[in-house]
Amino acid sequence: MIKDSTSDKVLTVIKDSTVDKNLTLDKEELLMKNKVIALALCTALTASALPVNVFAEEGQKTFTAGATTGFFGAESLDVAYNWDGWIMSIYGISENLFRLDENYVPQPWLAESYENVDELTWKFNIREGVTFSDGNPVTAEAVKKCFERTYEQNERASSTLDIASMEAEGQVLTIKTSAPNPTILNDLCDPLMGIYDADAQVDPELGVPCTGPFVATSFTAMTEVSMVKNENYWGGEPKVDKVELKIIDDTEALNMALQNGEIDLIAQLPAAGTAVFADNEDIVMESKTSTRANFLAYNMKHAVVEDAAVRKAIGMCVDREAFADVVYNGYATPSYGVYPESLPYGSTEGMELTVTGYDSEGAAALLADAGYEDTDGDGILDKDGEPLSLHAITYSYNTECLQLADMIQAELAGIGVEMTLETYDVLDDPLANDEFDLAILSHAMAPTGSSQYFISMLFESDSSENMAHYSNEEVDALSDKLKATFDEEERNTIAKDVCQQVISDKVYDFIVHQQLICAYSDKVTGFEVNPSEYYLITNTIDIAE
Amino acid sequence: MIKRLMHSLVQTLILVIGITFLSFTLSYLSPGDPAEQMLKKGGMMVSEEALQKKREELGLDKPMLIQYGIWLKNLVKGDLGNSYKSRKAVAGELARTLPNTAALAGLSMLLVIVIATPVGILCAHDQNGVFDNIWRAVTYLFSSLPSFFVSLLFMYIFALRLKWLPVIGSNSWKGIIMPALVLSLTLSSWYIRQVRAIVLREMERGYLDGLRSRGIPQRRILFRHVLKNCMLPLVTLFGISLGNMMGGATIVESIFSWPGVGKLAVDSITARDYPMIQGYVVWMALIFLVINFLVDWSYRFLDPRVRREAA
Amino acid sequence: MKKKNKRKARRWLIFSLALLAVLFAVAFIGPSLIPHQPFKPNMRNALQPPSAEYLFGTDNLGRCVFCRVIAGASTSLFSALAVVGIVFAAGTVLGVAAGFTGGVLDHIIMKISLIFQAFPSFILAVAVAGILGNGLKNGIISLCAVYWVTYCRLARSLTVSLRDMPYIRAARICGAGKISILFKYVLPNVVAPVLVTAALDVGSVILSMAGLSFLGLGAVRPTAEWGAVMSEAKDYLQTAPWIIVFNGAALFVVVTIFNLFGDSLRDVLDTNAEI
Repeated sequence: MIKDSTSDKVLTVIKDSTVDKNLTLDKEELLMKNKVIALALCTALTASALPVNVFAEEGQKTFTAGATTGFFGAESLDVAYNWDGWIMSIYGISENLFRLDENYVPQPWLAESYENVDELTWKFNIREGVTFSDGNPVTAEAVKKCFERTYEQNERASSTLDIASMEAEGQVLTIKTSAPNPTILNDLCDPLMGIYDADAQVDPELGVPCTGPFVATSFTAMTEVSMVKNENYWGGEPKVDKVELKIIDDTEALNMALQNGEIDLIAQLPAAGTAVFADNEDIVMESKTSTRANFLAYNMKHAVVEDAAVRKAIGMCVDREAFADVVYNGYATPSYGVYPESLPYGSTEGMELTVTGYDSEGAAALLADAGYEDTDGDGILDKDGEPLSLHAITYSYNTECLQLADMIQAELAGIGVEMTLETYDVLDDPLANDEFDLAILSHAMAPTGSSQYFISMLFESDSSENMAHYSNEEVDALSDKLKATFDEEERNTIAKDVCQQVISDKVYDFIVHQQLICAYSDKVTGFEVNPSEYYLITNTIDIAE
Repeated sequence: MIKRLMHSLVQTLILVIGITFLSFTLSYLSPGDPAEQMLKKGGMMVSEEALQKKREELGLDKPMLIQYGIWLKNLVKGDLGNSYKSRKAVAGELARTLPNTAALAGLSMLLVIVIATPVGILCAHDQNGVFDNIWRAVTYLFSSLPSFFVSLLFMYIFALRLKWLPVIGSNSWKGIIMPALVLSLTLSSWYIRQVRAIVLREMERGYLDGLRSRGIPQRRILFRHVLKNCMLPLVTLFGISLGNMMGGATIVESIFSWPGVGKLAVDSITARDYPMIQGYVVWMALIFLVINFLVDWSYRFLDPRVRREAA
Repeated sequence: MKKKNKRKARRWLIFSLALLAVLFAVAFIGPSLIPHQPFKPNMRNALQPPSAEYLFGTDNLGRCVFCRVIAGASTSLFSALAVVGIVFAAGTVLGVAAGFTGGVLDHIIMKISLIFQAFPSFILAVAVAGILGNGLKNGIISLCAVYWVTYCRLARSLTVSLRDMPYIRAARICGAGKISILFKYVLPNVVAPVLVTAALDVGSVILSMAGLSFLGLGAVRPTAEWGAVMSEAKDYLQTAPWIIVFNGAALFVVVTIFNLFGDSLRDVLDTNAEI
């Protein structure tokens, strides 16, 4: 009976246009396949009943900014969690005892003044009258508790600033370091040392109460954050009432959103966008040389990149000038050393460089000399039966790193080296689990202005982010010496010595130093690009109606 | 009647077990250690003992089937575990985003019905005529274009050039228009062809010859008799469409930053957030199943033949 | 009327076959004839608009878009044909086995296919690809997981309807063995309609694969797969629209050719078919 019904024929409509195959379907099949209008109507009804968020309210100034995951992507609003303190500082939620100015010099912020009692002892006067967003006053005791919690929660803290003991009395915080620390003020600028109320319960969504000009009202990890102004902000009432920050990883959507007026600012504009805004009169583009670099890190635990000749050959295959000019549209400087030239210890003058330019033929010859040849005719060089094939990883959202990967992959294929590539939103896991031979990374190298920062983080044998397993006794010794040296000139010399070692060892290969570019609507005032990448949203930002 | 209901309930139950088992297997096979993911708190190393303890606590040392049982028990309680990325409950994240996808799918479906049904009927009426041929070309065009391409094209035209609609979906109510338009257009092209085919097939039926021979005008035959009989097969199309719609939403949502489950799924995939992917798959399949179950039963009452048989 | 339609359909079929031949020639011979290396960056030539030397312009790394479109053709064709081939073979075998033997095997196969069908199609593909990780092979596997159900159920329905046909009953009475009935009478009658479905599916498989790649779940670098290339080219939508437009056009042309082929094949083989 059912077999003749009009419906069963349509039921053979599967996926595409294979309508009508005079088929006979048995009952069970018919029952399972029938799907009816009710559902469509249901959805339609729910749709009309559902509210869609409307953010803009009358009479309130809202500032909206967008960026990719790399700049805005926090996993939580807890300063002590992973790198989230950094992002919270960008958001304008958390603040530190000191703040870096344009020239990377620490200036008092939540600390009003300090006193260097002796080599190991520092006294900080905490600014009076500052409160956390939960209303509690910022006292020396509160700062001490905050640091204690951060040190307990985050392994990176002790390598950022080695604290032996703390004492709190009224507004005076005394910090004793275990060794002389000439860069303590710079270290205190690291957003990981951001000040929050450790006595307060950590809110699963909104994190910890801080002191900044804005307070989060809703937060979706790696997606967006909404904030309102902190009415009691100690530095003066913020000019805008609300701030909306959105992560948009599709760079073209990001550009269009700014052109369309949906967002007011793009923070860390991906380089491809600079061409879009170059001729646009309504959009201001501002850039500052940052300390951010694109670099390669090799995994020294893996045999395939153990041979220095291989690492050098890869370095020779990278056309740094072209990468800076084309991919960055000129908003980057090629690097053959370590630090950017804009830093006092950044110059490569007088150093012995391992790679001095793009030379893929030279790279091929180098590998041939090192004993690599294609014995099995598969187009991939090999040595001792092992093919020269490496696995690279990079960020899925970082278009510049991806293009660098494309360039390297093609260049390497040209000289018989195979490179596979895998991309991730968050690289922490593959890096920590040694799931790479080559990592194509982007890091701020001296965000605190101190050369020690990056040396302690990547170059020392037991440093926290040393995923490359780089180990050089001389670097370790130099780093220890640097930590105890107060004289600025001497410090620069030591830093340069470390750079020479890093260049010679070729475990890290720095490709370009980038500029931090922000593009914003000409309605925005009071905004300034800070090269350290620690700050973005401030109380001075205003927007014309 | 009761017996039939029982039978169909049992069938559905078997399907539920199958669906959950398949979803579980997918993430069981996925790389990564859940214990490590849960314990690892930014920047802190986790000791092997702590890991071992957590694994035992989670039952990860037990055989797969027992793990499935534990997982199923939690699922029934509405606990799908926590996202690796946001550390929030998977179920909560899905519940947060699902209404947005439902709104998008509902509006798209409405557009499809409004656009495609009349066009399809008119195409059948005008078989091989000018109108039919024009629409045949249009449907060919849209069914051969990937939805992401159409999305970008629309974004360029309607947002950037004409400035009618926003690029970012979540900012205002206008944000839903473009994704809904793209979803409904790609689906409409398929739908129009189906509607046309159903109507044409109905028009070839023997009883119509009888009507024609009685001198009843073609137009009246079409609207009075043919369409009435086409309702059921048309209705079945909606069910099939809904699956396409939910799938298509993944791409469209991520392009327009529409905060629905599709975007959530794509984001979770790039972040290797396996509990989230698993939760998404199992929820989508179960929702789809529940709807189909209800639909099957309402179908019985819509089709007099089935109803008679049931009685 | 019918006859005229059929003649027309046959003409369309021949036409689409000719187009397919050209397509395959381009995809498999083309890469050896193209003027530039499709993968080697030529940075000084980046983002050039279409010209005599670079027909479709150059991309962000100065690679010839025309050459990359051609180099990507074989990837799209190969992966789509692989998916359709696999699901056609597996689906037919399972479906015929289920329909022909009936009983427990039938029950099990049908239940499994129902379970797969319970997942909205693209969602299942995205999930499988997401769990397996990116790569063309995983993309193919995930699409197979989606598409096989159609073929299995179609083949089974056809087999069941054939099983009770008078001529097969007659053959059975005449003492024909199960195996010979299967191969002589059942399979040939099942294969044709399933083949039409397969032909009609190629276009949609190509689109699905491009969709997966666009989401970063299909083909990986350095493959010039169209979906993956378009995903990247969208960053240059305003400054170098030719990259995404030409890749999109290639995708459109190929899918249209396959759809044309599938439709005309169905019209020729099956007089009942409309659309």
